[in-house]
Amino acid sequence: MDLRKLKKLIDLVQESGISELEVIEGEEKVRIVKHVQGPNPVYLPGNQPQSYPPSAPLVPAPEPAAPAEAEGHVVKAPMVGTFYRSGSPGSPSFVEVGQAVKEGDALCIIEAMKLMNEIESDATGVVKAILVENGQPVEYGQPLFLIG
Amino acid sequence: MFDEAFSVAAVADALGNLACRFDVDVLAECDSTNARLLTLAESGAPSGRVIAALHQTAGRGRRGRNWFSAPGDSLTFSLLWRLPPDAPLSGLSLAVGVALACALEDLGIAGVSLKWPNDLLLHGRKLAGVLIELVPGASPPAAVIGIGMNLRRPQGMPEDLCRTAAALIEADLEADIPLPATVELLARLLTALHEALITFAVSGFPAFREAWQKRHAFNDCAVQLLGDISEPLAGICRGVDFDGALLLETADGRQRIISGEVSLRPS
Repeated sequence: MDLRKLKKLIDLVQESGISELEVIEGEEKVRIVKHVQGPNPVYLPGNQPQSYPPSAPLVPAPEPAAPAEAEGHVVKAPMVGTFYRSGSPGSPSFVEVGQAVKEGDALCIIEAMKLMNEIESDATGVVKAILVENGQPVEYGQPLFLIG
Repeated sequence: MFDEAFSVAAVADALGNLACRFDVDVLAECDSTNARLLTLAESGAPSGRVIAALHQTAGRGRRGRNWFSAPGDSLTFSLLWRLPPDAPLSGLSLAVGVALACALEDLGIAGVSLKWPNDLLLHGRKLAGVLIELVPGASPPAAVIGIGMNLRRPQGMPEDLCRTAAALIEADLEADIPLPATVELLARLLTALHEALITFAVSGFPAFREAWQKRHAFNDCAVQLLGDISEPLAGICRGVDFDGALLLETADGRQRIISGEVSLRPS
């Protein structure tokens, strides 16, 4: 099975709700398990699409913010990319801490490879914390905002 | 060449069998075709909605950069495409670049290459740019794919742009093949995008990776990467990863790049 196909399969597993996938082609058998720390090795160790090295190169990946104690709704990154607080350099930020937001209000932009994704708030409340610095890389699922 | 009647009917005619897949609006002038199409997308416009403009007055590039154009000197259009629920998005912009490059090559235009992630170069100078904006809140995802292509150099183009920009009219054509009329060019680009987007929804970027690498303008070249905020990063381009990330050989080893502007490093 070629590498491209394997990577595609890994992507499929990661994007889906399933935790394990086994594919048999002739005499070849591949089993992909989603839990990185589980007892079963992930095929292609170290090459899991969701555990990339820091994606944007210029700065180290931020510590995953874990607002475990804080109360409120966490808005998470829906994709890997660079986090921008405004539509373009020099324009005002979409939101500031303390600002009231409604569901559907623009919070930030995540950009990857010139694909711009404007992230909307999926909750109504007040921006309690902005967990990522402008221009920093974010990983899939990384907490971005705390809305309380 | 580029000055024929450019109308909705003419575009439909040029699209032939695919005309039913697109709903094209042709505007003499538009602020930003992407912005206008995003508004339509938010009200539920279907895949294949296109806004083309002969003059875009407030075109947007990446991170708010302006797109310099004069009436009739460029073709700017945006295409709305709704993706299936589980379609990958990574590498979509590169796949679009490949589709456009192939469409130009099919027209007999030589010297087209790609600059990461998706600028089209003609003999090393920028011919076209692509900016993709996801429709906010759309689920499944919907993309507004905005394309700006230089047809002619506008008079009064700033000198620094003249050095880095190319125009289609300057292309070396294979013998006896004339440059297409703008309406034909739009139809060819839309046809190529239609095919590429269907493939992308099923197979993602891996289906385009080889074609992208083949046209990579800076492969094995020393480049500099500029971010909006971060310090420049120097390295050697080593192609793209399976998801479209640029692989850059730096002093600290190989890095996967997903944002920033790449330029050749002066030697």
